[in-house]
Amino acid sequence: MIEEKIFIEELLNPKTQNKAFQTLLQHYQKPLYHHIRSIVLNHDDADDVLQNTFVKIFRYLKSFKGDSKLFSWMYRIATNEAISFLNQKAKKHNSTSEAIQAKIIDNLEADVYFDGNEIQIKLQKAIVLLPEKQQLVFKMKYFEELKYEEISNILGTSVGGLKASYHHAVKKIEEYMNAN
Amino acid sequence: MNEFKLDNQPKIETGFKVPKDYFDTLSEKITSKISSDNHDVISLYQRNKQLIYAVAAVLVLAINIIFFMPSSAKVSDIDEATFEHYISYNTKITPYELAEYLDNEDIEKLKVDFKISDTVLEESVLNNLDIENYILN
Repeated sequence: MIEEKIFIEELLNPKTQNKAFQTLLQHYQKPLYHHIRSIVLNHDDADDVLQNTFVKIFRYLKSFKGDSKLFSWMYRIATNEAISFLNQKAKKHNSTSEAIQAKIIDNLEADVYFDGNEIQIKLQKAIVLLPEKQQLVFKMKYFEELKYEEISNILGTSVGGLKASYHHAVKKIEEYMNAN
Repeated sequence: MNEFKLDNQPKIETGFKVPKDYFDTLSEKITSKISSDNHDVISLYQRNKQLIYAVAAVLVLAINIIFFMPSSAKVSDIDEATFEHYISYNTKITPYELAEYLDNEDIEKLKVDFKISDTVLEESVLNNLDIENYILN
């Protein structure tokens, strides 16, 4: 905690800011990319959203109160950016974010940046049918292997609520996998 | 066929790939985006600053017109003693500059009958060594 406090001070100090921000980028670019990619699904969109996420992180660092961990705060920004991006994309295409995601998943095999096998495609198809919150919880727990406490800090949902969401998500996914 | 159970399966990965070298160049792209973003903010600020200055100048002008113009127009409101004191002690105004502000009518008003006796006048002329210059010029 003290280390994080020092690191945040370095990020805010103009003299140490650039170096500290590079460290932040190196440390978090991969996990944040995969988090965003799991929501927006295609690489180009994930790239746009990730860059905007880091620009916002840099811009809003001054207003970071330290009430939550830097990690949770950044994941929250990334999640909001990815969901907003999907909603805007849906609005532009006069559609819904669920329909946009379903369309991408249907064309997953044609995506040059996807090399999943049959079971991986089937799992993605099962996930996209879940309600938004259950999708998020499942991806964060199963793919990103985040702890319930970490997900709770990011999404602002109780651990109990998250466990219930994950349980429902797994049940629906298993039903889909068995039926198809 | 066995029933599918997520926990019984080896972990299923997302299958998403990332272009080669993507993460090697990403930080550079983000850094330049941040600096161009900052540059945009500055230029916008500069533009606003000019606008602020323009608005401030107009305001100052308007305040001047409202508060100072009427008072400067009413010189008669200032009492004579204050005015005379100001003219006398304001060394920046030379008599020549002051004379420029006077028209013929003002000069007529300034004429004073001093009633100097001939003896005093004669004595004064004799004692003034420059009198010849004044007469000649």
